[in-house]
Amino acid sequence: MNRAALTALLVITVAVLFVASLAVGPAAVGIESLGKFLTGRAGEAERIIIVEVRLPRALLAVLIGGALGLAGAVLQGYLRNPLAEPGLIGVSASGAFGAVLTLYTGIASAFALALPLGGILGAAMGVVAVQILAGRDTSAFTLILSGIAVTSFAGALTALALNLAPSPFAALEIVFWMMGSLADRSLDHVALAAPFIALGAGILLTTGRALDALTLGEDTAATLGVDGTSLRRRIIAGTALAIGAATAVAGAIGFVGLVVPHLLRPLTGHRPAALLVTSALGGAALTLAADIIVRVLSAGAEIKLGVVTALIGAPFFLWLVLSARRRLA
Amino acid sequence: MTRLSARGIRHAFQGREVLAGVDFDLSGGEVVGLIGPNGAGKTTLMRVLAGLIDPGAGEVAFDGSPIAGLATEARARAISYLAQAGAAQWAVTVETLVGLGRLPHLGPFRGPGPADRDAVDRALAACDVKMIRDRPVNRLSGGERARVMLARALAVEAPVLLADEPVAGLDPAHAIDVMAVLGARAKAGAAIVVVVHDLTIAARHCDRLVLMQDGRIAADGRPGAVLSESNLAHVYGIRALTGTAEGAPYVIPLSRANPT
Repeated sequence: MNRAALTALLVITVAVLFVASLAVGPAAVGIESLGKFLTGRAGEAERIIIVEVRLPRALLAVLIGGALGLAGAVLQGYLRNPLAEPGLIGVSASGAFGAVLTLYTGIASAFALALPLGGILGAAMGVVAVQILAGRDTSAFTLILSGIAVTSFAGALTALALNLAPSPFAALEIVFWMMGSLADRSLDHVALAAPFIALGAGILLTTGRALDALTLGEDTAATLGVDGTSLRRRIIAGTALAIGAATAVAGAIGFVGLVVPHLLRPLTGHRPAALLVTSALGGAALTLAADIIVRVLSAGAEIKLGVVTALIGAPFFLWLVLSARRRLA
Repeated sequence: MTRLSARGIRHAFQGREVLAGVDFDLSGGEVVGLIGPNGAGKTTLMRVLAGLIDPGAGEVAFDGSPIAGLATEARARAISYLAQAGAAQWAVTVETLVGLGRLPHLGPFRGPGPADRDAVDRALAACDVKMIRDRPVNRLSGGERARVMLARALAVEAPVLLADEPVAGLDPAHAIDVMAVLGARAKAGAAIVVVVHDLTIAARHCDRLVLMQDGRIAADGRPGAVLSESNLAHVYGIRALTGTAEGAPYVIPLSRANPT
């Protein structure tokens, strides 16, 4: 399949899933209501459900899924490792800790956007720590080690917050938030996350050529005019903005950033630059689909989006590993 | 005409002096073989010449201007570098991989144009890999991979080409092919440095040999003069059968030299 056809197919998939996301949910507001809404004949209740309940979810699924897919593709290309994922440089863990801290201290209930703002602050502090730890060294290896250090430390602090939680309910609230979800998010959440994700994605999209050059290794890429220091700064900044904001709004959503680039890589001729936009679209499609499944499955208690992506992602990943082993054997 | 010149290069790594004052000039039209025992500093010198290492002292200049002051793209267009045992990290096609050599020529928002495609075609043809251009690089034999990597370096069409052990691990026929490609590129005006361990290959395919020992240049000149009995004994520590066949020297190592 050529690249234009693949991109077109993914755009259509995202569009169809976006519409489906507006038409599926526990309330009896389906595709007909959507038609009525578009022609301006919908009632107030239908309008509220479509615009204030489902639209934010659909928009966030596109933004966050896109950010995860894109950042996953960039990091896999940069580290030349198909197991890299957006959380690798520590922003997911530190963003989650920032958000958990607002829940722990009760600031989260003080005003509506306190929790995502705490998440963004946490991600920002995490990325500063990674940048300081990794220093001016341009090798990918120190970045991985710094990311692991920050992830472990933020994870320990999150565990400490759980440990010291004032009541089992407070602990449960934290645990549920960390599973990742798009439920009960408003257009305010969209407005908060969108600028960060857009800016981060814009920065990440500039890395395509350098990632292509890195196919030949860091030395050869440098002799082809790739500035390793600038590339790494762009990757850290872009990932921090996009993934930090995504985690702050939705919690940790695993496997999208790992599986999507992996799945689409053979369809883009294994070229890192060709994988960027494709992976963003694929991430958006997978997250929209998973969030629709969440709504279909959740009759009583809500099943969290992060749980569904992991439930789909882990067996799928196992299958990828097994088929790769067959190919190598 | 001198294209690349190195003056007073010194470089230490973890307290050990890897390059201890190297002066080196490279002119267009010549293939210079960089030879010497393992650990003599050949690869470090290549990396300094390519601008990958900032030496502790000394300066490398391209056409008279220090490469440290060149913009990264300008340097990338001037000096092409073929890394030792280079491998591709992703299973891109041969043509895509060779096309990476054109990156220094692309503008910020401009993809490869007809000139770039022609350069890739020339490089594929020169290295005799045109018929496998659509094959993924993870499905190549050792000889094919070496030629594809060389084609990538040639596609830059830089006036200076630095090739670190391009014939390592190749059978004699493929080794001769690769050296012939370098020779042809030099005839077309390029300045080429090639690190070679096989002394007969070096002697027969290089116009000039530079022999390194302990971070210094021990000898620099015509292959026959550099590969003298005394240099082989003192630098390599071997006794060898040397001679000429079909007008070019050969070297057959026989045994370790008796320590004197």
